[in-house]
Amino acid sequence: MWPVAAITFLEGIRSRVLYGIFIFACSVILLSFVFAHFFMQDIGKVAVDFNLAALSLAGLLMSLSISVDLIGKDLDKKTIYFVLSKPISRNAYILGKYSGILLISLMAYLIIALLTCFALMLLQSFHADYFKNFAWLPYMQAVFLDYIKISLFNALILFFGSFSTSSFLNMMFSLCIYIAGQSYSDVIRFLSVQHHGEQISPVVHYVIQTSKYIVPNFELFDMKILAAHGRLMAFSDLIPIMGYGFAYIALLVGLSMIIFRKKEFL
Amino acid sequence: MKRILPLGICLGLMGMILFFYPLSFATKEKYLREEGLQPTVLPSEITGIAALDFKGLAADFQLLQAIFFIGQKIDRSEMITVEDWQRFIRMIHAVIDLDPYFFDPYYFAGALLAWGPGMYEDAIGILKRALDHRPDDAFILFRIGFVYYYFLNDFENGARYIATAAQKPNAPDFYAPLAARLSYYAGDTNFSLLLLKSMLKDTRSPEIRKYYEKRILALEGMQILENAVRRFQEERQDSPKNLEELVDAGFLDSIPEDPYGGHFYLMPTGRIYTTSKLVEIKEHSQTVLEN
Amino acid sequence: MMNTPEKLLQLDGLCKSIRTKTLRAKNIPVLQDISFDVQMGDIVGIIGVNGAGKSTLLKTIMGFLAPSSGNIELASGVRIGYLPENPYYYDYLTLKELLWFAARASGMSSAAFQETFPEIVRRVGLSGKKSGRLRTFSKGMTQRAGLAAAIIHNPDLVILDEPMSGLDPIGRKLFFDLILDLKIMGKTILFCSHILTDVERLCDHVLVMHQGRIQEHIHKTDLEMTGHLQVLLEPSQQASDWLASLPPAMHVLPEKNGFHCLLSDLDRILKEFTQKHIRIESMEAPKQSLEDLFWQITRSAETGGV
Repeated sequence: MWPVAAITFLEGIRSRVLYGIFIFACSVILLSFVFAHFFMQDIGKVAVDFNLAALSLAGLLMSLSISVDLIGKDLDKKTIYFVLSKPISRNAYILGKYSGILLISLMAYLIIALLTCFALMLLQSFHADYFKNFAWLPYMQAVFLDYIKISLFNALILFFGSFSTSSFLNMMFSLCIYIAGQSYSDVIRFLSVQHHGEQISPVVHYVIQTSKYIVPNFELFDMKILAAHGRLMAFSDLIPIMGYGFAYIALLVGLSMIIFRKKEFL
Repeated sequence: MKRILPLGICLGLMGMILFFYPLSFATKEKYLREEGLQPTVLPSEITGIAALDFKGLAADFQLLQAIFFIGQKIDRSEMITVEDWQRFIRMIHAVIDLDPYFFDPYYFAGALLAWGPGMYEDAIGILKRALDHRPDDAFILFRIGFVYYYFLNDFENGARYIATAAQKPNAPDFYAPLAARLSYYAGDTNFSLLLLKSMLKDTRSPEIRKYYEKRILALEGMQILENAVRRFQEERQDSPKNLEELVDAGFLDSIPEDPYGGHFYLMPTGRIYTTSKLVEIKEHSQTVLEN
Repeated sequence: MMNTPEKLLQLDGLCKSIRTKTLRAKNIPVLQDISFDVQMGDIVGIIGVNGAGKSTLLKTIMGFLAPSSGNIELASGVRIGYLPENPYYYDYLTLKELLWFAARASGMSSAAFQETFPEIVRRVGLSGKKSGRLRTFSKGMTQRAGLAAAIIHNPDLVILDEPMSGLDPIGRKLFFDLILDLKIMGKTILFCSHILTDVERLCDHVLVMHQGRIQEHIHKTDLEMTGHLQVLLEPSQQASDWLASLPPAMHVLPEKNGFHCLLSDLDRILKEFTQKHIRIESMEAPKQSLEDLFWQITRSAETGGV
């Protein structure tokens, strides 16, 4: 498994796209300096908003381009024959691929998080008065949970890649589910307050209530608002969220392995 | 055995997901409901650009957000502060910035702001923005006129707007005579009832219909009482001292209930009023601003 | 210790059908009733027209496709090295990283890899390219890199899918020599190719495939090189001496009673024979080349004959 993870990591880390995403993230971080001055009240909040957005967006872009590519390229370009000709079980292959992707995003997150911390420290030293609500621990918590979110998203991409024939379709489906997963919480909240507009048809209501368990709820891992206001989520409260994340990741990886085992390569 | 193990693991994981999910959701909700963690009103400059060519969609979502924001508080019988309403107004303006032709924000905000906290000027302000983009919309013009007349007792402006509305192509027939008679019918219960019932007909939102229905119920009660008073006056050539007298004398079966929780009473002038002043009396008032 | 030939691979009645992805899904047989075995030290070549099923057969042996019916048996503990057709490797890896992966994935330790790496790279002639990115490699170099990756762990059985495809003549020569090296090292090789002359020169056994079946199993002894005469000599001392002194280019028959030679050499040789009193018993016209055989088999398979 580790050799597969290693070459996945090496191939991904040298991708030109990755450098582009880094530059993009850096620009957003720089923007945080610019925009912070527009809001003369709670600069801390705006700074956190921008920096966490940089991190989150970078993670998302990376998954959609690099993860999809790393998983699809083997099949597209027939490299799969080479890799699987070695005495590696198909399960080990899937695990290796996923581990490689996890490592790449871990490295990217660490680097970007460090840059954002640097930016925040600078901003804090300039505008200490307006940083009253800011705290480091909630910020780190948000970063950590965002990493779990992106790992879940990567597991989803892995899952689609295990049976999809087109990298583009993989990217589209994953992106759509990401958007759905982010909006689901809002949709559920809207539904719970049914006074407004027409009554929702019971069929739609039922479909949404059941499918909320199937669509991965990415919004659960979004701690940006809490971090922006310096609120920390208690560790005991984090446990169900992390449990959900890990269970879902394990399920997706497991399903990928099962699907991949039966796959034929013509 | 080999087949069962992976299947078992998958089922186990699915079970974990089903278990952790509602817990996580509830936990997150708990944190988000804390004070000070309100959703930000994204300025329309940012959403406008970020939405690219999906501005309409963005407007829809922001409107939902605005309605939900207030609706949730009403639903939980929470107090809605002036700041809350002002945030709501900012959200509505942002929605209108994104999609000025969208009818719903005008419709919702116009009604909600008038009936709820009684923020009439803000309601009119929002409705008037509609005229920049929907100048021929009779319904918007009518609603502006309605707020002026019904809530602000500004008969001149009320008549003016309803008269303008009457000239628009999609105006119902009764707009014109209504405009003509507006000042004459000021304070007339029958007239108000007619007006309210016609507004109710055009209202689809169940939430806002409730406002109209409640007011109609109250006014119908007052109408019954007024009719009874008039019959008393015609027969006895005298005015009743109070409403109980009407019941005793047989002109009334019983005194109607005020749906707002107050009591109807008779003024020396002969007019019917209610202690509730047609505003909801509850433990936690929905509105802070009373008119 | 007796060097008994070990059966490395055995196929029995292997069949494979593919489901077409059209609305009315049909099962198209791509392999039908394939049976043969590969002994240790054999060099087996598979030839056939495009679409005959050569590549599919190799992929099924490798486990990329699951057989619909029949048996594939690999002797236990056999290490396989595989070179796919038109291989592509990751853009950004270096040759060293690729071979590191090939080694580690095959179970070699990092230390063992460090030892073997220079040697393997030298053997395939890529010594100057150790740290170059694979993206910069030409087709021939990629092919050689692939071969290095396939044999770095010293496999017993080497399976090559169209190893010469797309190579220029120099590349082909290099590759041919490499395969010859493997043969000399005693490895078992199974490969498919379009280039019949190479197959002729390298293989002990040739399988001719057509429309998913093995039409013919040709042994080396059936093969002759074009333009050669088979000359049988009358047994005598002079004949034996002369045969013993022949350079290897003149192929001496196993029974040591004759030899092959080119028509062009015949003149000179006859003169020698007259000198040395060597008498010819018989001369035979050249037997068919592999190419001729191939067309014959393929054509008869088309028309339905055996």
